[in-house]
Amino acid sequence: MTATSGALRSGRADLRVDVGGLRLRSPLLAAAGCAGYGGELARLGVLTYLGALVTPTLTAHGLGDGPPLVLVESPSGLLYAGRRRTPALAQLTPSTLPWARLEEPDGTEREQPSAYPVPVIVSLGGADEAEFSHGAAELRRRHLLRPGSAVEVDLAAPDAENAGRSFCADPAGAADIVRQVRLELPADIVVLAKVAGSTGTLVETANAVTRAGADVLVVTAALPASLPARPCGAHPRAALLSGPAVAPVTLRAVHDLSRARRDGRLAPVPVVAGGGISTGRQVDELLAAGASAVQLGTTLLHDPISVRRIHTELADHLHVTGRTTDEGSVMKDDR
Amino acid sequence: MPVAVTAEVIATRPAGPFRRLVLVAPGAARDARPGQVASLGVGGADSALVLRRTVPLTGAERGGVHGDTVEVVVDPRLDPGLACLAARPVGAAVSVLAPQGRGFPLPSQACACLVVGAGLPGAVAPWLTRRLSSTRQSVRVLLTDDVPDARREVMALRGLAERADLVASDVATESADPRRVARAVAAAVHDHGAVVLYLAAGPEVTAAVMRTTDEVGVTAQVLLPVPMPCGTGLCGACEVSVRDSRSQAHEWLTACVHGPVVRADRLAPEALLRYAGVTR
Repeated sequence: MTATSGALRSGRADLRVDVGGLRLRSPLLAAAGCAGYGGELARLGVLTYLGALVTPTLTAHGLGDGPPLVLVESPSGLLYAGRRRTPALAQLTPSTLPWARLEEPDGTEREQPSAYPVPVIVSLGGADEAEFSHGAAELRRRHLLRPGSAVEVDLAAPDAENAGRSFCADPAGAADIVRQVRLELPADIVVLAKVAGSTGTLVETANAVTRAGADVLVVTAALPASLPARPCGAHPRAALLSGPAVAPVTLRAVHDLSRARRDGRLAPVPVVAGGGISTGRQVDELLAAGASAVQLGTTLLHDPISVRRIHTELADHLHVTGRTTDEGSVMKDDR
Repeated sequence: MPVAVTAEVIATRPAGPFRRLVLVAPGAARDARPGQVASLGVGGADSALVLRRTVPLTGAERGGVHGDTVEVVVDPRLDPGLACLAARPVGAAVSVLAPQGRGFPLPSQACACLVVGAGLPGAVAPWLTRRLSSTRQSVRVLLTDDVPDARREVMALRGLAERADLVASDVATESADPRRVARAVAAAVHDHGAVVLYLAAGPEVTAAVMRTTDEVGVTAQVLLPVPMPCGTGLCGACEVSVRDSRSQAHEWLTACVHGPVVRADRLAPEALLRYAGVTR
């Protein structure tokens, strides 16, 4: 990550960051599946506090009928089972993208033919390597990516061919996916690789996907869990856990990757932290630990306008400490 | 157009096992209509309860003594988050996002309407009846006796509606009996000559009434009783597949944003029960 000059002041501190070539006005990103396609946050007038918006995870063939997405609270956490229904990339055009039309806070709708209010990062998923590759090819063939867009490869998703084990549990397999996606996408599109921080092979996977072409790492995804019996019947149903309960896992993952970068076991690739973040102080701590930006997820579901509060808290923290958003970067530590 | 504000509780009172809250929420009463919902935050940023609670608005007043106010009714027995909201005292702050979604459409011409409310969602029926009466519609009302303040509301509505009746609950379950409500609705549609039916009820009653609407020949607008975990449109967990009214093609509808009121003929009762989590 590099510092930007000519500070665009936001509040009392400059929050602009450059994450692997993505120039963002704030280090706060909306995580996949927790901000829709941006329309709701735009209507509430808080979209512009975000540095970028990550779309719900899209696949080449889309997710249609199936068990409904179920969300259940656990103490300080959120369990979810199933996936949000999404359109097939193979059926989208630049004008039918779900985020192609975003409303202004006053309710008027505007088309964004060349630029969205915030950079859009497409979360790309797949049931197997071929579907990831197919999805990336559709993004390119159908011209679905604008300049300044990026693609987040969801490697924490379950691998259908390996009994539902996440793709990132297999460093070589994860690297193959990133390599295929990288080959299909235009060279100027930034590729983020989302990996689970809880896996024992975190650094190994991070290294493999970085060598395969990932420009940015995203840690951590939601943790494997089960829904309690009551809402889903007698049989436990596989689910994922996110929310404040996983915040310490996120911090540990960022520390592990930072240490690996310092030790030379990992290339100096930017890291985006996600999982359980709900305050500016947490963002500040993660940036100081070596993250370049953070993703907000469950906190947006708890309070959609929390991004404004977190933005203010972060600006205040940085003002008090006299640091900038890039100061905690391991790039600096490496120097 | 919903607004997100920190509202203040200005009145709280019991309504049987439920709790009725009146909140000062600047901007939230503007354009609010029966059938729309409010998404309520539980606790602050460090709350252990990370989802919101989405409940139907049961009233809204613009520019009153306290400014804009909205009213909701919550059931503290359902979960700790609703219990927490029900326990909020006068003066307490509550994160409110409202009015959210599509409310009940009012007829553009005078016609005979039947308003049916059952259970907690039925608390919206009195407000809807008042709105319909104010537009000179011919209104008949059926409330089951498990609606918050059912007896008092029926007595009050008798001054506004042509007729307002109470439907007795099932003695064993102490809740509305779906078949009994469906039979009462069919009879009331026939007696009143109703051409529009407005329904706000739980999943079983809604499904039972939906099964009879074709038979009795009435256009029904129903409040979808499906879980809306965030009530903001962000999570996507309340998406339901509905038929397009004209082309009959299937489309996905986010209940809290594009619903929760839909025409009953846009989805099957069995699908509704599945989305509501009653059946798998």
